[in-house]
Amino acid sequence: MFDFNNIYEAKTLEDAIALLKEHPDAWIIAGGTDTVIAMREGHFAGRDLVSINGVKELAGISIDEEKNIHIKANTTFRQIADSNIIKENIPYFIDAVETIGGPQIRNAATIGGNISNGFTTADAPPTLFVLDTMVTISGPDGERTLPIWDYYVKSEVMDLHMGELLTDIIIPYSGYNSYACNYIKYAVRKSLDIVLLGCAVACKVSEDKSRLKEVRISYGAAGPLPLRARKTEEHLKDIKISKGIFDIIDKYVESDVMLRTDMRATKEFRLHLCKVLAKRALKKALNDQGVTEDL
Amino acid sequence: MQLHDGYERNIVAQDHYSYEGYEESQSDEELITFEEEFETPRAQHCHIENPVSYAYIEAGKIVVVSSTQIPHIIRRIVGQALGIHWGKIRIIKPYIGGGFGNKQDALYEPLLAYLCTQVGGRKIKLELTREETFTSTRSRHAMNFKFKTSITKDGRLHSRYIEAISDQGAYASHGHSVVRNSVKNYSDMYSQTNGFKADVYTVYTNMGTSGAMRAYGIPQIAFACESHMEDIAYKMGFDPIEFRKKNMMVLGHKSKDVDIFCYSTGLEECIDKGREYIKWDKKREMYKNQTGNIRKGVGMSIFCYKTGVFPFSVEVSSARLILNQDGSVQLQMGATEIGQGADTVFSQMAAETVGLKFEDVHITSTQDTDISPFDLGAYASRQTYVAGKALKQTAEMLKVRILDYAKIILNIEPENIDIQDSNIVSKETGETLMTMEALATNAFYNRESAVHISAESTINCKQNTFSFGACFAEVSVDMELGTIDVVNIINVHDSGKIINPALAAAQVHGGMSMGLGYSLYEEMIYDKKGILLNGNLLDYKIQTAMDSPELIAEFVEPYDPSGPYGNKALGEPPTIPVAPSIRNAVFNATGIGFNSLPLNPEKLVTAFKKAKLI
Repeated sequence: MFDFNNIYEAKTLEDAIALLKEHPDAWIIAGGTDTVIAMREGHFAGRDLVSINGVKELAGISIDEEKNIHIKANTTFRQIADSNIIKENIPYFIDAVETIGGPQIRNAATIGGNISNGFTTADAPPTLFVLDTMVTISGPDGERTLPIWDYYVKSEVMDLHMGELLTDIIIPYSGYNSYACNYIKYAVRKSLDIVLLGCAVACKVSEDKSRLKEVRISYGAAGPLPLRARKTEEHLKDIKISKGIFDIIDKYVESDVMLRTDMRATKEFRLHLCKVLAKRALKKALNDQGVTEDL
Repeated sequence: MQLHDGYERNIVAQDHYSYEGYEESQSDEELITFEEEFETPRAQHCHIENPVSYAYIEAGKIVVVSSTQIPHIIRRIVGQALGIHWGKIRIIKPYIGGGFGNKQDALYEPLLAYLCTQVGGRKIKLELTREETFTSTRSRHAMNFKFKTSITKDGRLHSRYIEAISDQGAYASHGHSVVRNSVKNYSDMYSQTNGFKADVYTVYTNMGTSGAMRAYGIPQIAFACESHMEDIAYKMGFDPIEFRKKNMMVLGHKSKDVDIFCYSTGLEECIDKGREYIKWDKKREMYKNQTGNIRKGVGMSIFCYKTGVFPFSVEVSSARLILNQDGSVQLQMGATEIGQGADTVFSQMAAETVGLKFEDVHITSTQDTDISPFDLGAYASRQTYVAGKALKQTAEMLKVRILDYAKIILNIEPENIDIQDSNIVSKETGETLMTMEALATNAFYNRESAVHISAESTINCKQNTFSFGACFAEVSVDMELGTIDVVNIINVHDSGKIINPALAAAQVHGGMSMGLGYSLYEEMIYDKKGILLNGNLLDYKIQTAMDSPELIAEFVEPYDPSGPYGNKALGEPPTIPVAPSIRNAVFNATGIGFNSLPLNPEKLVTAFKKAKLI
């Protein structure tokens, strides 16, 4: 049996907030695919758990009048992959989430958990970062909405006050409309593996396909948190599409990332991957935008 | 720092020897000499079932139920460790979930036997977690090799020098015998060499303990040897297959100083079959002078592997056959089923030799040292060969006894009758004279002649034969990412006559899979203090089904005259040739020959950058 103190099962959002207030030290468990592993390693010894697994109002995908896409925190990756709303509007997000774990894990794991664990290695965040995603946090004092990158404080620490939890992930229309996007997960194995480096690129091109209007680049495992390569993005704004755009990536990416050497890879290899993956992801995204030029 | 008293420079053991002809071969000026170094990593077995055992005292005996490959050996070790009579210890091996050599060792059985004596004989159980299995059981030895090889201008190996250093880890376990096996194999594989010299060391280090693992030192040496042969062939402009054929072991070879013989060989046929399957000649031509990010290549390697441990250790095995009232038989073996299919194969052997239907052989899968006849266990690809000999001899004895009894009922001389398909038949006409069931019932209950027909015998096997094989692989390398996609791979084995083709193919698939992990992913990473950093199945990578190419297994089947049914070793060999074949395919694709395993992306990218390929 795993070592934890008690588990409280919330039935409603209100319930969940009350339980979190009552048990300020509690850890939120949703799909459990990361939490149970951490529990097996003894990370929650003596702590309480608040389960939001049964909170129905926290699951589901919808699109509002302004065409913003809402993914509730408890939505599983299987549900995301099966969603017509996702398929019609941001199909590339399905490709990204299908790199997570294996089928069994995607059946249980939730998007809220994938973000709120605060892991730099998570597979959903890079795509969400390049789509300018907003997140809604609910708590005793009501709701607040902030950009996803502001939700991250530091590794495994999120901007959550007492009684608060992530409830809604909002992909704004302005974030995805007329963008093509592509996520590359670089891992040793094709399945059931953790990223050595993840890279998402979104791009928008001019109508005649000759100019890059905007490029957004995000990495997982290129720093303590998922990050946007803002400096590189600046240099890719409103320029002519040519082979030269890839040199810009080679030149500036290093200034955007905070790499380190660990057992899985050296800093140097990760930087190499940062460049190669961003270039490949951009190439693919441009291709999806109908750019036919031989790059 | 010296880790153990009495072991200077941390050397567990060492060998230094040379065969006649080595020294003078060095002075010959007509020779071309090559020097190369290779390194192989520590790897682990990753059997699904972690080591688990429990112990209790019953009727004054300590009973240990254990997931082991070697119940009879464990009984001795428990007895020695506790200082009690071996007869007062009983080891039971139920169905187990794989071993691959990790359970060819006394891991925790003596400890449990002792602990249960401290709690009044109550049950004590120890089941390791995966993490504990990684840190605290056994691994494949990491080895370093240095070669100096001289060849004649027409491509004959003339003299070979090898220095081998094997990383034992903290405790001795199987110790020096593993790398000794590697070097012996190196000498045998290319037996047509004039001179051979070896300096062989096993050293203690501050890391986990290395022990037995599938193919006992041969995957290490085969990687080094077959990479070295490839590199020599490349530098000399020889066809790598012809170069091997010119120098490899031939029929009738006798291993230096020991009675291990090449009684049969289908090696050349293995090579030809693999070559044809992979379309070698066409692809070697096609893959010349490639540029671009994706580069393809084909590579191959060969191996030899002896069958069992004779003459280095005793090779004793026994079998027992007992007739049932319905004419079926009970089969009891000391040899152990650990998932490889031994029970099925033994049942087939008993059925064939006695003349019974397969379903009339009831094998006892559990080995219980109080009941099962003596055998040393599942290792060294020995059981189908050694235990097969014991079983064949026993089955022949049983058959004679059945036919002798048939004479009492039928009044026909035994030489004129036979047993076929569980019937007593006339040799002359083939007509069924009586069923085995009728015979058995009579033998059990006839007031005049009742006798329980059974047979038991033991064999001390004093033969050893080489099995062979070749692997051909085709890869596609993504230069920028450093990833290797194995798009095509085949193992062709000469394991003599194949007893059960389906199980044999399964054994080859499993071995190839293990070889793929060894080639591309697996490596136990330690820090300087000897702490294992990746002791779990997330960080210690073995491929998933998604990463596995289709594994093709083929056989050539020369009848081996020394094998009980013409058969030779198969259990371990499939894992041997995969890594060098993939390495050589990558060499063919990219022009870069890697001299260490695993062939991981960072290693590839670093080398490609250095060579200015990317």
